[in-house]
Amino acid sequence: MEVVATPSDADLMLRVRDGDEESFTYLLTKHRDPVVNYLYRMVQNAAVAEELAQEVFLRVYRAREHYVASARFTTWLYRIATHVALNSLRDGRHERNVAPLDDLVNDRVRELRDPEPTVEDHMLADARGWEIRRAVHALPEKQRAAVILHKYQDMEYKEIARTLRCSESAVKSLLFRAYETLRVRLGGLARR
Amino acid sequence: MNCKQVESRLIDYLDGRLARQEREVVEFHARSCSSCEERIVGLNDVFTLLDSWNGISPSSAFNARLEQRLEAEASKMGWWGRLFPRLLPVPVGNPTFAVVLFAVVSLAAILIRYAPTPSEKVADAPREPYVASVAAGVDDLTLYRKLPVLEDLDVLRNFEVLQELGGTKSLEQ
Repeated sequence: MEVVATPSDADLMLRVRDGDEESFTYLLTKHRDPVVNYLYRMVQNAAVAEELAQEVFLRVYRAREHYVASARFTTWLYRIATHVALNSLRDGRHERNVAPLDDLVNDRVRELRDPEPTVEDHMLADARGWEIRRAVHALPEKQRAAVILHKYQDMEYKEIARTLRCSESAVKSLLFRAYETLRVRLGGLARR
Repeated sequence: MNCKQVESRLIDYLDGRLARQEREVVEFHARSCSSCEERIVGLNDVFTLLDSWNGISPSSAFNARLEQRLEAEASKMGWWGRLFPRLLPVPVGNPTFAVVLFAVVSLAAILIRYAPTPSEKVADAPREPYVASVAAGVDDLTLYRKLPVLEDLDVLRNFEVLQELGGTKSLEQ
């Protein structure tokens, strides 16, 4: 029996380049949630993250004519996403120092699904969540991107390096410094 | 293995990406080094804390909104905007810029096509006095020195008022 190989994301993007709209819908469905969450952790605002994710996919669609499968599709996608997120942060339009209400509400909704959480549990979880977000937000932009790509997007050093356009050794250094900073900042929280 | 070597392997250790032998070496070092042990415990706590940061789910209207934006963009661009990227195989920004670039390139092509060739230029160029002079073997330097005088003579020779007075004869003499 002949085994049909599943097309890679890069193959699908080449099909999009040739006018196959269905392949774009497939790529969108596959990568939408991870991209939205990457942007959410970068800018820490759900509404802004969704808006930026729209911008990312618009850029992907606009660039389809010139797409060359020289790197992994995800590398290219997250390079665009990182660029969009950093531009947004540098513009300062979406910069904020306090956790937005929608984050707290989202956390609360998720936690309500857990069995019998008390009001104290909610308050504690809110406070811990807020402190974690604040500590990540306080990291320099590139360290923040490296940590999120490593911890939540599950990328290896090589792919993070390509996404952030730096060497693998630079990524290792970024990650070590970032995690060390978080260890110092969140040390007290872990012991509570 | 010393502390520095352990440090460079810590993240891989916490990710569970180290080979068994290397993992055992890191653990062996940590048992005899309180500073590294403390760091491993602390970083492990950070990883656990970060795991508790839940993601979000995009709104149900995400795809529909994106589709609307893509359609709006396509209709705004018109047929030319959609066609242009296929004609020009490099990214050139927005369609207005692309059209301007196309116009400039076309104009340059026309100018190059209808520019006079070097042979035409030589043929059209007015005969300079020195060309004949060189042919006649006159020293260039002497000619340049006399040029203002010759120009003055030419002006006076063709000066109508003097011609009427019959002054040119005396000048020529």
